[in-house]
Amino acid sequence: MAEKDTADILIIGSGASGGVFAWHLSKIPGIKIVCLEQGTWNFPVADVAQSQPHPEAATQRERLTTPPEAKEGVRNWKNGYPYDFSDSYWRPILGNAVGGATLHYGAVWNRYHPSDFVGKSLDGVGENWPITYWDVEPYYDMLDNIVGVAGALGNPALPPIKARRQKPYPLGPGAEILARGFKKLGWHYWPTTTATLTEPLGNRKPCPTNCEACDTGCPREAKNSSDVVFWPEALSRGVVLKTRARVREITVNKRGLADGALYYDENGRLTEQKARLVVMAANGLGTPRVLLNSKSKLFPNGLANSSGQIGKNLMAHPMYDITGLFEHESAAPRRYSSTGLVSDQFYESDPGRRGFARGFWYLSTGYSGPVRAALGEPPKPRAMVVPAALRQERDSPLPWGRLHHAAFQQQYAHTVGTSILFEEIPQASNYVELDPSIKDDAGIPGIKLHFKRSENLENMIKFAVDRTTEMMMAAGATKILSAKPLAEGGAYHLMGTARMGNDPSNSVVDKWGRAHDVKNLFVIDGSIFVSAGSAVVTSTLQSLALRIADYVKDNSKDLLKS
Amino acid sequence: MAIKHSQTTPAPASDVSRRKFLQSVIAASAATGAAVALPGAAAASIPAAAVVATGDLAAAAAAAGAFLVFSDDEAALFSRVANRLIPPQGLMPGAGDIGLTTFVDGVLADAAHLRQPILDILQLVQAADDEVSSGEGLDAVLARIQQAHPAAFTSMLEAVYTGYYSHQDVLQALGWEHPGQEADTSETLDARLLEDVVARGPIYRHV
Repeated sequence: MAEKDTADILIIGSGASGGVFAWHLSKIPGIKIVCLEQGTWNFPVADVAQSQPHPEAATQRERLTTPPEAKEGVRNWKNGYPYDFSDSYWRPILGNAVGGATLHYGAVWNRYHPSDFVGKSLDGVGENWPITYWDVEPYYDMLDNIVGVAGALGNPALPPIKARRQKPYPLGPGAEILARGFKKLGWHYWPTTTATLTEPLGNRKPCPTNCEACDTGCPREAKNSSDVVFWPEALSRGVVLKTRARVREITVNKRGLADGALYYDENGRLTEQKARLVVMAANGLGTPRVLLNSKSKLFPNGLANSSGQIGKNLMAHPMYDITGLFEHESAAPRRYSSTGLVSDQFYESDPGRRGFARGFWYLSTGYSGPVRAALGEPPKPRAMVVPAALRQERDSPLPWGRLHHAAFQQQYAHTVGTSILFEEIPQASNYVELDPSIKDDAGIPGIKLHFKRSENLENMIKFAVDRTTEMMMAAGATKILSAKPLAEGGAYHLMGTARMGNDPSNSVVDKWGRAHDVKNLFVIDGSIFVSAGSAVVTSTLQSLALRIADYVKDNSKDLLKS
Repeated sequence: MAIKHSQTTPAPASDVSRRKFLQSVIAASAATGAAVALPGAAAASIPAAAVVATGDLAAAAAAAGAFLVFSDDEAALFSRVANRLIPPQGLMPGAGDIGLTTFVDGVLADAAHLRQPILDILQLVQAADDEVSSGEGLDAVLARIQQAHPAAFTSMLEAVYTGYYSHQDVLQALGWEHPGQEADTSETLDARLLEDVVARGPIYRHV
């Protein structure tokens, strides 16, 4: 077992939260930071946006030639760990590279609402966060200015935003059609905001085409991802990033403080990295996996788990796709440089009228190219594109032969879709645990997910399908073609499994992400979320990580005392 | 009549890209200056120098009129099949008429999991020799194969559709224009679309 120099800070995971945390803390002169990342660097090899004759061609060929992975151990990238989702109706989409899930997310950018932080007080469900929207707001603004966000300011679904915005894209044809429906009903809608540049920012180039290379990393560095925005500077300031490093456990000393990690390096050797402060940033499944596997005499149920809450309160965003047929007008994409719509019309609770607590969020667009239409996929935002390696279920390609061209015209030019993200309240039935019957290559246990839909969610789905039908008909749809859960899993975003709270008996970390049980252990990824909201999470997740990073930076002298 | 499908080099390990494997064969032969007969191109051989010069195996193969996976007979049959899957209609070309066979051949070279299913379908079509001489007969055979082997048939459809709708001629017929090199900032959001939304005021709960 090799030993390495003691780091001041050891970060587990280089993704959305780990990247911004490393970047911010590396500003402290002389600090020694080590990050262990189980994946590798992923370098997009081609400027897909310039692919001829159509940017979709390169990405679709890649999807076609990527073999579907086995059910066990399915990962977006290599060197992953196995997971069993036989007791869950969705499978996770996990990032396993430098940058984590930011490599394959679509960079849709939306803040939580103030009510998301006080769900128990307002709506009687879940728990309250130990912080409010107003505690996070300065970091929302700070982060937006760092990563570059394109969109329109003035959205009345959120408090006024002070951060800068780059030029928004125009609405695409599908979004224009749906806007008509929202407008007719007097419902809220807004152009999709994205953490994708429309103007240069530093050395990063703008996105010319929404070329749909998002799920493999942006070759123009236009999309906010940790490998592009945070890691170059962090590395230039001396952060050590070790790839293909699979962490088995966090170690503790006799005083019950975290003192490092045991991991398998790229050659499969068990290696020890000592540290004064340990930060978990391995996502809502990877973080509980490591903590639960970090058993000791002092922590027989897993590190920092005296509450028994690690792995519990698992939340995700179940999603539906609803597609409408618009026979009398064309929704065919004219160009790439366009955006879709979001709607917060039903985001906030109205249980007396709707029969469920909390709400859902719309994310809508049309096709960006013809291949997806021919393959029978419903039109969906690029944020909802499932990475090629996870395509276990297929949509049915369009008919062939003499029926083909008419079917294609209907699909490509006359269908518009919307995705709906639902807020699922934390449930006792929804959790993740270690599964020692399945192990990765290094013998580290995999995980098993347990996830069931609540009655609240079922009522919400029924209401949402009815309202969406109403909206599509108001927009001019002649019929609803399909209304179904998102294929290949039906849920995104991993949250809640080491949640924040003021009460150590039902939370794992405090308002600064600091473990109640272990004072030099922090958790900064989606595990710390207390509620899911129904908007996309990366803006909130990275803002929280930046806030915690600021706290650690301001208190580093005390926190890093040996 | 059996389809000729020659193979003069051993198959690569399943986890090795066939394209990379063939490139290594080419490189080895280039060292000796010999031409190389590639699998799937029984009637033609691609000079190693051509591959070295272009740096692209597929381009050299296409230039030499050879295929990486298909034999010439298989390629000819696949072109017929492709034209039944997506026939010409109006401005839209038939899939077999725009060189889709070369695209699918390249896909099969890169995707081991697609190779056998699609080659098996061609074998089944060929086995119905008498029936497939007419277009309608070929349609009937394809329909039966689709029913008996849905997964393999879907793989073939996906390959054909991906190639077809990535083709310059097809995109042109659909009215597509490539957006060009740089970000197009000529259009921007029409703020008037949002006036009603803004006028209705905040909809979040201020807590």
